[in-house]
Amino acid sequence: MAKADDIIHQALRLRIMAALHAARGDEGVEFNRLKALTGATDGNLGSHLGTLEGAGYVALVKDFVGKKPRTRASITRSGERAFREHREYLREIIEGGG
Amino acid sequence: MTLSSEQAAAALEEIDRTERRTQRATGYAIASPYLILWGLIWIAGYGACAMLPPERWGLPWLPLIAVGTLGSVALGMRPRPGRHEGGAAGFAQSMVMALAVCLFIGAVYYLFQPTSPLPYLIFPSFVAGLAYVLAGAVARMERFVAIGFGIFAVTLGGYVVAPQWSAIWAAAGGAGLVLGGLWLRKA
Repeated sequence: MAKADDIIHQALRLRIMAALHAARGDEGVEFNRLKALTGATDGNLGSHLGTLEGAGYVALVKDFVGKKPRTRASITRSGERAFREHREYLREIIEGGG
Repeated sequence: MTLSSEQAAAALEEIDRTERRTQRATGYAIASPYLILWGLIWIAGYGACAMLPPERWGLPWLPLIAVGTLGSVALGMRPRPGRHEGGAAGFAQSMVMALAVCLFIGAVYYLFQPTSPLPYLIFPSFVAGLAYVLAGAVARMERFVAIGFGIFAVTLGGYVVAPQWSAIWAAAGGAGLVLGGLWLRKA
């Protein structure tokens, strides 16, 4: 039986993890692009990314493009594992008819 | 945490929706520079055709296609967002598709033997428009469908209204590709 993940299950964090999981790669997803993909606001996204980073599910990289600051987020290995397990948990609930 | 099956289904649906949106945006980001590059080549090629007699229409295309191919190889070597098939496999796939399109266009010319030079100019734009519409429909990427129909509408509409300016309408199709590429960047 897969485990539920309270950190991931929150609606916006679930969308963030789904987007980062779909776009997993070396480059990461730029903050504004992630905002558009998840329908989040600046403050909301920053706060939930902080929670996911604290749990070790997301890595944030901050750098500059010219003089403009840029933040990129990517899913970590443990984030990938937790996301897959949470999705499996959701599927098991449906299959079990719970 | 205990969830009902309805809540679990809603969460899974949200995951699927977000993943599809992300994959579509990634596809647009990858395609955008190619559309801009080939749109510029298209404008240059048809712009040159507008100024040359029909028997010299082939001249500008050989160097332009070489530039486009080299540019596409260079674009393919850049780091890509997400883990998508790229490099040699992606390039080979693009080349096979390009070859198939060229063969198809050549076969249609051979079969129907246009008596005027104008269809030679316009028909590749129709095929390109169709290719974008089909690719967009199969991959559920609506912006490709819109770009394909845009190219088709501009070239066919222009040909019907003012066939003597066919090269200009075809070049306008290239401008449509450039605009489409810029539109995809904003997705």
